[in-house]
Amino acid sequence: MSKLKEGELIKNGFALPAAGGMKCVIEEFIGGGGQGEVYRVKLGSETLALKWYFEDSQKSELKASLKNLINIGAPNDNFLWPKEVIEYEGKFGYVMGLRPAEYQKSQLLVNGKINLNFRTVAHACLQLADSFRLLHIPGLAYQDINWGNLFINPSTGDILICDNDNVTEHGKNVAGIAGTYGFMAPEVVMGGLPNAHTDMFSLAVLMFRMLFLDHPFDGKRWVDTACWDQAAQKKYYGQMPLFIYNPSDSSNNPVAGEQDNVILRWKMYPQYIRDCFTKVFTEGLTDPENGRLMEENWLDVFRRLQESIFPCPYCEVPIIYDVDKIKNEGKISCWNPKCQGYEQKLPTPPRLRIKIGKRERIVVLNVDTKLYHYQLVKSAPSLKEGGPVVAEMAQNPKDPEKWGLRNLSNNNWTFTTNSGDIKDVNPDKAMPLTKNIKEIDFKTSATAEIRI
Amino acid sequence: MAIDSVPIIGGGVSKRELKIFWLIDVSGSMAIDGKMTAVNRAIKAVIPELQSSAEDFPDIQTYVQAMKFGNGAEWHNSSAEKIESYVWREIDAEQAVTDMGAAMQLLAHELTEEKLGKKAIPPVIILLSDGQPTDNYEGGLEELLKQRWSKKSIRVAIAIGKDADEEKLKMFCSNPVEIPPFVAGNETQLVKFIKWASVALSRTASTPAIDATGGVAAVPTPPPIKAEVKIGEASDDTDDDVW
Ligand SMILES: Nc1ncnc2c1ncn2[C@@H]1O[C@H](COP(=O)(O)OP(=O)(O)OP(=O)(O)O)[C@@H](O)[C@H]1O
Ligand SMILES: [Zn+2]
Repeated sequence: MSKLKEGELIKNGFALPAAGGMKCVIEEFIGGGGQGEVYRVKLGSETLALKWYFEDSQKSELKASLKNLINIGAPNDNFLWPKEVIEYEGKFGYVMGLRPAEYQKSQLLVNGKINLNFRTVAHACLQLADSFRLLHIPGLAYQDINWGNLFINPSTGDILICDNDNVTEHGKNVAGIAGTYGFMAPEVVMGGLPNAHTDMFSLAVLMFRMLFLDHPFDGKRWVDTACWDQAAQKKYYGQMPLFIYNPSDSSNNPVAGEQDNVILRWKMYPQYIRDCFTKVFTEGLTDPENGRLMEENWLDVFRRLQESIFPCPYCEVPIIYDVDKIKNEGKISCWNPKCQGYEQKLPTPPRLRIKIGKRERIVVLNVDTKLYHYQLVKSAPSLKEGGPVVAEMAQNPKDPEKWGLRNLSNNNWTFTTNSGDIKDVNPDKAMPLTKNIKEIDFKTSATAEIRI
Repeated sequence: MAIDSVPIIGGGVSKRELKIFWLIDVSGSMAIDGKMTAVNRAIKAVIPELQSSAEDFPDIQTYVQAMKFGNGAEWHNSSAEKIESYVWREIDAEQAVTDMGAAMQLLAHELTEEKLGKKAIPPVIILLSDGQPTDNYEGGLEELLKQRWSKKSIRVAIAIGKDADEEKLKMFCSNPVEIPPFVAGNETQLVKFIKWASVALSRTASTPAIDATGGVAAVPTPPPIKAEVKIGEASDDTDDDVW
């Protein structure tokens, strides 16, 4: 084969040899990064992305690491995982899935160019926690979790995680990557190596920024610092980080007029979410192993959040049903200052209180509420396994004002009325949701009461 | 009532300011060999890249401002302009000498606390020249470096062609050992250096990257001048002539 000249690969139609005698045909230059450049390519009939490394990154350890990652396989479909190493004239790159256009830079959330509502943001965080859970299970670490590597479909909250070539075995560091300021765990800022524990810190920062938009450590100190340079970041993210809502030190609290997003949202999210972040950003600063939440805990948190959202009856903004808040404040109210329900007592939304053994979950009932398998079984850690929809809301055909619950599972549910009658709800049938019902039995070891 | 369509209120966070300054030599010799044309082309080309790069840093507002120096120095844009709406007005070479000292003095006025504000990140300054300073360069530079903000700034220089005074340009650089002046021998290289200096350095100022050797990689690796197999962005001109 003839020698490659400068700029030759970019020419449309240039074909690199791939496995099994296939050709990897360059179609278009997409963009350049710190380690290489990315092209749209065609491999067989598939349209994919090729990352080709700069001279500096053409290292045999990186190539071996990529091959190892390909063998291990993608943790789930949310990763644009390496599929095949492509080699040519002693140089290499790798192909991965091409990111579809509807996935947008997650940073756009923070400048208001895309919006997620409580439901989609909970979905996105749930996906993130589950994806990194699956990545960590076989002993891998991502090492550089930050918003630059995360893309979101704003209408669904689905995510894509890019730049997986730096993924390594927990405790190894092939690419010489440490991370991105503002996301790194303090011990990494101070010169330590990233690993699965530091991932859990960075993941918490990323989710915090998605939920609250502002940064968990940028409070008064950030406002008081004229030049936010590397020295300042090293000090406030590494040497002496202080969470903006540290319960015992308010000196770095967010400043009104500067960090209004977090001031508003900290009030909007339920106590259990605040508690999780407070733990990671206080205890977790110095206790990487036990102070940072496990992905499973985050899964529970975001599932719970998803189950507790309902629209304000006046202005329709999403509101979170939060038992702790009702206990503390005596009411649920609308957070939208323009709404007539602002800080007023709203009627409590109808909900199901599902009991599985000793555990309880409250699911708020909206017209578009669906129940998933995981909500009705004892343990279903993985989203895929927890997947299928087992119930949905249904209108009574005789009176559309009356709502019921349709059985989409394969089980024959039963319900007991207040007078003690037991009735069957076969698959595809719907049952009424009224005060007259004492208990629903989903036949999965879960039962439920209706709260209206 | 379906709630999927309801966005949560907000969006838009408090921003820090990043300023990128281009200091451009407009001396007579810049008219020769298409140097000034190349500078204009390079800056025009880098604007969309800076706009798209700025999207990655929603908590930073990027401003750009260009200065001309020849017989004295003056701002090409009277004030720093937001990158989102920035339009490049072409610069012409003048019948002028190379008053680089005047450029340093003029810049010094911008690196004050009042001018950079209370919420800034390190400014990025890119000096472009093809010749010898003709005025009191050292004096001007001293005044510049006296500013407290100079110490924070990221300063690089691009020498256009062989006649530029590399030693003098080196004195301007904030990290002369790791990032000494680039010597652009042709238009392709010049475009590449201007792009790299503007985009990569502003990204570094926005979020410093660190490497795993324990050290802090204050600046990313400059682009290779001649990679044997450079698989790069298509350049629409294949003209590689040396000026
Ligand atoms: N699988 C993909 N599909 C579509 N576009 C991609 C894909 N991977 C990367 N890109 C785009 O290609 C460009 C370069 O990507 P790359 O990952 O090299 O950049 P980066 O994230 O800035 O780099 P790095 O983190 O390695 O410094 C970016 O614009 C990126 O969005
Ligand atoms: Zn309301």
